[in-house]
Amino acid sequence: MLGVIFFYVFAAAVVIGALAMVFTKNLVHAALFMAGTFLMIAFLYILMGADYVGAVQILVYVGAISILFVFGIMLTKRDRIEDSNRFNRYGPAATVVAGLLFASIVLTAVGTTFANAPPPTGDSTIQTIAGIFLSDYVLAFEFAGILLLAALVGAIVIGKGQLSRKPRVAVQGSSGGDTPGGGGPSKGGER
Amino acid sequence: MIGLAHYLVLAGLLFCIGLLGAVAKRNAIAVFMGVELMLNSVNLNLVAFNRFLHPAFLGGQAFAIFVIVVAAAEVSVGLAIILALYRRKANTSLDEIDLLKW
Repeated sequence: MLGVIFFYVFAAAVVIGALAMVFTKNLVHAALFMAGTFLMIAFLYILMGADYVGAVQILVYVGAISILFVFGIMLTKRDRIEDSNRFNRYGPAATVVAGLLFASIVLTAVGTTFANAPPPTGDSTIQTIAGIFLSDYVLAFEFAGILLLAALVGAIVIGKGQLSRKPRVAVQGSSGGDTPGGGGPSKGGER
Repeated sequence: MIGLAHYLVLAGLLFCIGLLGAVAKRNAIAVFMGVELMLNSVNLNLVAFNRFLHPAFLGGQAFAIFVIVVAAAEVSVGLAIILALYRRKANTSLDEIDLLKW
């Protein structure tokens, strides 16, 4: 009975947070609502007995990705922030499409009879998931590590921007050039 | 009693809200937020199917963690692309970034 109440409370919080995220006009508020939505989804995971996924959700989504989004918003501010989260001209059409998709999902989900497993025993799932990662899905696990490394390097390379600028090259070319001692410090100062 | 259909309807609603945000937003970062919401709803589906249909083997939860890994990588690279684009064009509106549009 308590699980039912918790489910409806968390589900209402998730839906309200997601709707507020989409329909608010301030992009910083949207990021805040997104963090709250992710937190409520983590509670739903824990309610389903998936404690490790819930903890990872809080660590990665609420702790890292939301902050990354706030950084992105702060670094790309252009006009007034109160007016930064507008719909484009496809807003009505997208609303109709999303509504039709939701109606079809509801019809399918309600019209199907699913099996209903007994509730989980409450044991920690970390050991089981670790065993799955290192036995059945070990190749995918290694590829996930490679993907994270590639994303790390790629984000640094893309976000770094240009290193050497043209005025610096011009100054270096005009000042030095005859003595090798003059080229040393300028080369050392170049990053 | 809360069954699988409850979680499926909730995840479907979340997916549709994320789709609305991803398709109909003007700012590129808002579009990214919609994509993240859609990935989260899929994760909710995976965990719910695992809990109600096959609770002995936790493959659904492992798959949800893989989805979280890919989403984290996608967000870091995507925000770096948006920052580079902003540095070049001083703009993050997707209506005006149409270099690749034919």
